[in-house]
Amino acid sequence: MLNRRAVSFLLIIAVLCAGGCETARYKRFQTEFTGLFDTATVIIAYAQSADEFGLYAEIIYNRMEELHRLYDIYNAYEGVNNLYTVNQNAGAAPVEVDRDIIDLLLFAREGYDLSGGAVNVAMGPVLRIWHEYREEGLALPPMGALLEASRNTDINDLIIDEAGGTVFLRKPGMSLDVGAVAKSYAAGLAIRAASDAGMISGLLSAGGNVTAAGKPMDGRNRWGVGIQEPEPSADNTREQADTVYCSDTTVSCSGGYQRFYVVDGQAYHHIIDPGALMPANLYKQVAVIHRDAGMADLLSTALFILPYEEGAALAARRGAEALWIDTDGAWRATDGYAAISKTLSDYSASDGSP
Amino acid sequence: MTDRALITKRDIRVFAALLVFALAAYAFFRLFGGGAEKARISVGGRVVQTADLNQDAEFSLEQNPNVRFAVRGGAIAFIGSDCPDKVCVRSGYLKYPGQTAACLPNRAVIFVTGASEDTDIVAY
Repeated sequence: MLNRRAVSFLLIIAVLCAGGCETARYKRFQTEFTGLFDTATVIIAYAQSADEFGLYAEIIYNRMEELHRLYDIYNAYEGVNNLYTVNQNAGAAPVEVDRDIIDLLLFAREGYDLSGGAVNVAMGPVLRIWHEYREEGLALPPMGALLEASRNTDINDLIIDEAGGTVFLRKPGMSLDVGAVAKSYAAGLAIRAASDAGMISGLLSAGGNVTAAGKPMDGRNRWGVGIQEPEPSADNTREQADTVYCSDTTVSCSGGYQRFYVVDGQAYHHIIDPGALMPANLYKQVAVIHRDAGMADLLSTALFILPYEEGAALAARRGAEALWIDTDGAWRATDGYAAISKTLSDYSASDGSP
Repeated sequence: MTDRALITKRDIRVFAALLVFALAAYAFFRLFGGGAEKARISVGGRVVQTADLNQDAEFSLEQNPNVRFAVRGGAIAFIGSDCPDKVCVRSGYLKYPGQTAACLPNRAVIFVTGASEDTDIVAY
């Protein structure tokens, strides 16, 4: 009888720690650095050794760096045709480019159609003017100059020859700016490369856009991804607006609080509405959650620019979840967002599917 | 040896007491153990300093004394830098685990670490 009791006791213990024993082999590792896509990068992963983590971090870094060079519009690199090369050859000649550039631009053109032109990678001439004035920090760009530049932003003049492997900007004044899509698109590819090498549990933050692979190997079913308040509080602290619990997905935020300058007491940020040629000003911040990293980033920019009804319809069409924080601080969220939100539900990281 | 039931009332009481204790411990750590306590400062991908957020202080980067930090009331911020855009200083004070701020020209990144089971990283 004692034996039976002992056996049943041991069985109970075994069942209780089965989950924990599997995760006990995994430790959490992390590294953070700058230098890619003009932003900070953070890699977090659960791995069985520091060497294993180092391998994943190296794969992610190398892939991101390769894509950073290809998608760079400001610098030329020896022996590489990148988007800078494409822009330099606007109106002159098609440029032979890497497949990664063709794929990004095909994706961006799809994004243009999806968003009704709200996200347009051919907006380079207009964004360049805003960039220069923001760096100067003194005045607003004259509307005449913006209008003049906007004549060379027709995405139909971006000629992608998939079979020939070339890209051509048909008019001389054209230029590409992939700032709204490139870093998350690259993060998605980098995470995939690490997953192919065996990473089962990782997070990659590219400038605040967070891509999650798998779930955390510490017993929880979901990662907790915080959503930062768009503006610092009165005592200059960055509060946390919310936390969403998710796995195998990307959380992307768009807002006007990172890159902006002030003219006559008014802040002007970097997300330009292609219709108005001025910074979009409907919301403080939009957060989008989508399985595809590039799509999450593209949609967060699109939703930040589009009126709520149009944005909500677009999110629904693409199966994305979203949170809109209005300029007066009011929240609007999709039902799917609310279901995984700490603030809007009782959900927590240890729960299963919502 | 007397014949006994497989699980007696006493066993159930012991088990219940253990369960209550475990839940209380879990609740305690969830409520009081979740705060951020430290921040890592990395330069070029290498951790160069770890700041205790429970101790107010001001200090600068060993690599560049013009990059200055302050710890105040459990939060940390860039308070000065020789970079042109001051995006780092504008980031304000960080206190939640998973928050980051960066000074790109100086390749410096702050990451708030902590015992939070709730938030792995903060999107912005």
